[in-house]
Amino acid sequence: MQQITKFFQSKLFQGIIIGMAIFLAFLLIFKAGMMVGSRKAEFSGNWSENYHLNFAGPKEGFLNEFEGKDFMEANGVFGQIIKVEGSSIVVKGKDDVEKSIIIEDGTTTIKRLKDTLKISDLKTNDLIVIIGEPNGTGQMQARLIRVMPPAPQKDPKAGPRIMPY
Amino acid sequence: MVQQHNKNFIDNSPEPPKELFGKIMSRIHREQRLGRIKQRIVIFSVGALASLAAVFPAFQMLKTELAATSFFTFSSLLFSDFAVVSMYWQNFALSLLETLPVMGLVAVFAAVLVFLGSIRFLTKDIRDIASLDLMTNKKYATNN
Repeated sequence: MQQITKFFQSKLFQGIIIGMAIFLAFLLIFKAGMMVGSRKAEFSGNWSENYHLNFAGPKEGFLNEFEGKDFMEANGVFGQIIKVEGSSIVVKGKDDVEKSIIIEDGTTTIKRLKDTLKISDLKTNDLIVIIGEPNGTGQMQARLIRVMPPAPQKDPKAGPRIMPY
Repeated sequence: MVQQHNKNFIDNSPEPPKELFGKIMSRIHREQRLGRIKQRIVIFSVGALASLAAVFPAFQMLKTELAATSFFTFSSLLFSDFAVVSMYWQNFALSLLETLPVMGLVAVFAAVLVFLGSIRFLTKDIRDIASLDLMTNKKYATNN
């Protein structure tokens, strides 16, 4: 009991608590920054979306289908390829939003396991994770594309799956 | 007769020891301190129990947030494609930050922090109360 009490009163334990408090503060500040950024982006988005409403244009606006959706991730995508065309692909992310990805020969690395692939090796329905840089036209320039192994398919005739433990 | 008797009693009554006042005051202070420590023990016990109970829903929240984002998928690139990731570390770091399950982490860290803080203060108070009890018992033993 005395050992436990000694540990809880030690400098090490105090350091752990202070470290966690600092990390928590960092998270809160980060969240606050995200909220402020989101509000500004939302306002800017609404302003440009409603510009034609306020001044001219269709009543429902151009970006109506994005209403209520969270802001998209700009530097990475994880999703399924739904279209391959030339040097770009269209990926449907987890949030069901389609993103156009530009692949450049010199700068984009495409990997499956240990193999390096070309854009022609990419197929629709491939599950990929992309790290890239957003450009000014709402597309992402891919830096790294990793083709993930396909998710195991459920066979309806196979019956209940027996876990290996 | 009665008045004379009372006067004799007051005049001849034994003087209290000089240190009696100090002893009474220190005992009062000790009891007050004991009361305060007991109050703190109750508060920190409730705090520790409540935060311990909050850890589980907080973990559940974190698990749900992690399932909704691709944080683990992006993190796995660090192990599979370290060379490329280190080359484009800024994009990688931003993609991790974009998918960081902040609210889940805040909930877990806040609950764990309150729990650890409560435990720290609780152990200190228990140690203090034990030493106060020990002091009282020792004095009682020496006085008898």
